[in-house]
Amino acid sequence: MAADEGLVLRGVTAGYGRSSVLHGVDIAVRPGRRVAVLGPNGAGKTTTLRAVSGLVAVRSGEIALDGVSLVGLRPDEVVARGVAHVPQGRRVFPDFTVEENLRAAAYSRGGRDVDGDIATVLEAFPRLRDRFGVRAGFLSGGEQQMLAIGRAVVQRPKLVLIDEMSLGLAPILIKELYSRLDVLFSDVPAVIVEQNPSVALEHCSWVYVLSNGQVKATGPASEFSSPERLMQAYAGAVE
Amino acid sequence: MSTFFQAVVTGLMTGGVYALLALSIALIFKTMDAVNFATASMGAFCAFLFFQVGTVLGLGWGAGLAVSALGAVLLGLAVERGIVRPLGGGDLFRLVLATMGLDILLNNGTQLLFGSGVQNINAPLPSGGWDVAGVNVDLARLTILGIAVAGTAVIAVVLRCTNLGVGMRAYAQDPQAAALMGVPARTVSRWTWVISSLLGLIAAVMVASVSVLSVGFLQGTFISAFTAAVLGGLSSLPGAVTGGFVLGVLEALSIAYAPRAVTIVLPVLIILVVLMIRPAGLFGRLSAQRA
Amino acid sequence: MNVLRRLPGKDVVVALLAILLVFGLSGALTGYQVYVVTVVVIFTVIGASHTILFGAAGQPSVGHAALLGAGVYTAVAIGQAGLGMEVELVGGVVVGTLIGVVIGLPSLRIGSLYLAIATLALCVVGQQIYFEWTALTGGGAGVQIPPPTLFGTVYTPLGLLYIALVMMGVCLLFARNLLRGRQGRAWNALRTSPLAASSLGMSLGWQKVAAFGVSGALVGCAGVLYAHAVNYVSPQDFTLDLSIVTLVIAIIGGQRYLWGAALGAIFVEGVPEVLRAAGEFRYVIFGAVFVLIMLFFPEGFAGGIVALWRRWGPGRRPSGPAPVELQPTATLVEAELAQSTTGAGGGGERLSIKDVRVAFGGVTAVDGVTVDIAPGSVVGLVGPNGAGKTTLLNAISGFVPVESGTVAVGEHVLRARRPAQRRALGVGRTFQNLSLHEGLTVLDHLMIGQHAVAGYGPVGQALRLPPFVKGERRMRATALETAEILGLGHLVGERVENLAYGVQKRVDVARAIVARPRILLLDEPAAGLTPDEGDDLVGRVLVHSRHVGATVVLVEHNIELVMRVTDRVVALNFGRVIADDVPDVVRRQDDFVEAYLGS
Repeated sequence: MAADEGLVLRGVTAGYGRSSVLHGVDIAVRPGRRVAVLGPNGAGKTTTLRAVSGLVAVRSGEIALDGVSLVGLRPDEVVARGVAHVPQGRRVFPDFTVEENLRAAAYSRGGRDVDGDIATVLEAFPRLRDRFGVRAGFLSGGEQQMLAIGRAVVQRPKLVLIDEMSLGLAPILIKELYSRLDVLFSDVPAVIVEQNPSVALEHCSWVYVLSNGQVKATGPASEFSSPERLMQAYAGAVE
Repeated sequence: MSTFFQAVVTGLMTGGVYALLALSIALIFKTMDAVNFATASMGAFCAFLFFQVGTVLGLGWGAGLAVSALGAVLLGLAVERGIVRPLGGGDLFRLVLATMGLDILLNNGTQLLFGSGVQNINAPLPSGGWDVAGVNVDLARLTILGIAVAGTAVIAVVLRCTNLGVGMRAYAQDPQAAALMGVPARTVSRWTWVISSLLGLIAAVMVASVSVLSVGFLQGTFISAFTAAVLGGLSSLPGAVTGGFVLGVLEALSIAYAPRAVTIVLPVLIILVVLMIRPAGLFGRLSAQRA
Repeated sequence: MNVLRRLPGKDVVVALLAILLVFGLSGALTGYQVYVVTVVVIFTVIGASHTILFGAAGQPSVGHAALLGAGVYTAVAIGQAGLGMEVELVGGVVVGTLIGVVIGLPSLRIGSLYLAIATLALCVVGQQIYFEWTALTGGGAGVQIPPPTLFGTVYTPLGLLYIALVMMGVCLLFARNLLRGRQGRAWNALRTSPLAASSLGMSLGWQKVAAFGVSGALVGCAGVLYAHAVNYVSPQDFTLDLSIVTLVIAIIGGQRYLWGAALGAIFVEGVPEVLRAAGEFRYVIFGAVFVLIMLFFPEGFAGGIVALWRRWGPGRRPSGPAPVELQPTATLVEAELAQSTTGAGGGGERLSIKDVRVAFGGVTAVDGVTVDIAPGSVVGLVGPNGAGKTTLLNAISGFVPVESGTVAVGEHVLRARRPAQRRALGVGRTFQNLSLHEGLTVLDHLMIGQHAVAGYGPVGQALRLPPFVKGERRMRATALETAEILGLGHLVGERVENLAYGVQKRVDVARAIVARPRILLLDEPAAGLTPDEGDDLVGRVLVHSRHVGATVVLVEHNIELVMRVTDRVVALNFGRVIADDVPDVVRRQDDFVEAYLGS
């Protein structure tokens, strides 16, 4: 495995407790690529990201980032290897202010050297500048999402995982967030999980469609532009 | 009227000790949703170490402090590694029961190691006092209050300003999200127990300095401290500290004005009232209400 | 060998033999030893009270010292009135039950942690009350108790031991009868999964009150015996520490087993006496053993012994439980074919959902949903995450209040009722998180599932009357039959936590259908299963449901599966119905496609 391989998942089986949600998943995210993982609920999209981050036990298979195996590592160790995960539901720290949330993201480098990254984040999301001293629990959904992305920026990652960023947000805001992603993580490989595929398809180069814990279809984003093709991958052949 | 002010002043000074112990209890509860029933006996054990080294062996207070602090750290780490880590993830009730067993073990172990006699310690505290407008302010107790306040301030600084403190506070709000920020659960757990243990040591030494050192001397204080934490809100650190002072004053007022029976059941009555009216305590928040 | 295994009450026989053995040996004991054994016997009864309250019903109590005091002082009062111990015992039981019920009443409102804290308060307050009530208790000085007089005869300490043994036997038999049967299963069910228990018709609050009452009765009886054993008693005795010790006895011995209480009492009360020579060390050992038990043997001595017996004793299995046989394709095809028999079985009700709105915290999860489901039909409920599917199920099954609109089962309009009452109307459901009862077997689950249709009550159960015997037999037969339907026949004796996840899901489904619900709500039955497992499970339950004609609402994410086996598909998005028609029509509908794929 070469040091430039990006993220590779091979035959990953994983689940919570005794349940199995992923039944042999193969995904490759080459450097410079942005990958969309689509599929219906319960397909295992979120579980895939959590397996990479070490939040879910991997029963069999391999997960490696640039040749380094991530299987069996604790979540904070995975972060130390350069993986930033923007979780489903944002999960900002509600009692921390915007500033404290951003600083917390620099934990693994001792909280040092953060000001430059914070400036970058505030430039990309001016709304956060206005709300800099406000407790994150009082932010709107969109602002919390910006903050969550901002935390990932502060982590200076080698790989970004984003889970259902568009949940509960207005289309205009979703478009804006995605275009910011292009700027903030221009040369960082990313895996973007979405249930609602249209915007994701516009900003990603490659697609994996997951259903029932397995990869049902994969290919360049252009291949999946028609609803029929997508529905086919989600729900089985249309008669 | 001077009885009233005397009670308030005395209460504040006792309250300082409660605040420290309540802080210790709340710290554990905030990070792992469990109550450490061995809080008192852990503190007592370390206090005995302090006085054993300082007085009995005659090595002086500095050595006493060093040895007992080391003992508190090691004890906290041992409990975390031996009891909390294996049980923490699963059934919390088992963890709480295990701390109860630990309490029995430590109490009697302390008795065995250091003897069951009652000792009067000549602690290095200033003696004498002032008379301010008819209220007696005892210098020793005032010093204790000062130490308590200082201790609380140190904890506050650690939590607010150090990287570790940020990690601990993040972990207390959302352990998984904290993990995604690179905060290691193990480290947070360890430090929480070490700090808790040190707080217990300080509280125990202070109580022993103004009363007597004997086995179980801290037990009553523990119930009061637990009440203070419930009153202030088990999940709120500032709440626990405030609760400590408030309870101290309430107790002093009760001693001054109420029949003995009431004073004895006071902590328990307060717990009942809090549970019925506002279970989250004065400053706490029930987890469901989080944003 | 098989015959022996099936003998009802063989545990009673063993216990009886043990008691007789102690009886026999007692003659050879010194006065002090008689005292120790009597104390052990008394604390066995108190431990048993925790076996019921904590071991079965899951409610820790640190107030039992106060209850013990109540029993003691009842004996004192009755004794002072010149009556004999037989009246004292009755009085002790009655007073204990009453106080137990009163302590337990808050269960109707508050959760178990807070109730536990309340018992702590009770203990401290109770002790103070005893101190103040000097007329009865003698205050700090205490009171002397005359030797026991039973039916006119005065008894020596040895005689008291015999009486205590008999009373212990009676108490344990009573407790054992309650624990083995519907009541015991109900307590265990509410301890391990209150959610599932209420969906099966159990009233959680009242069950706990009952447990408190029974627990109080046992302690009241023990109190009377205690009074005569120690001869001199003062309020000093009834400390919080004593309460904790009684709870610890049950836990160390193994709170899931009645005989564990005996082991615990022997260890806590008997061993320190024996180890008197060890002096101060005994409590250190005690504390250390307690910590070790919590760490490594949470089921106590009894649990440890049972585990060892299971692993090394006769009848042990080298490997784990056998897997379930899957026939995914066959069962699915059968389920599809069965679509033609809709409603034939007559076992279903119409489910009418009219303009239902459910909101919490400012979010409207279900926004005016109207669906009319014909009896016996199978309807698939689909939609993206957050669409409101589970909330709608929760509203139908009574776990969530409905802000406006109505839900009707047949002719009955459901008002803001507790889930328990839904069961009476024939609504059964499964859970996304399984909500199984850890520590209980598959068969237990199937018996628990029939709680509402058992046909007997606690009294009949305690006295082992005919309705109990008949009811148990009938329920067992139904349970085994249902297990077979879901392929669990060979696993009925397995504890559910040892089973694979896919099998556990089957148990959840089996528990829901065993009492033949008229409306069955399946909440993502195939989630977390391999495709084959999911197909097989859904196929089987649908074939069965079609056969009995139940009405089924199936929430699933596996759209492929839903389209194949349902009569109708209702799609939700943002809490509203966006499609409601036969599968083929819905899958082509624009807003359905849009809901999943975006515009």
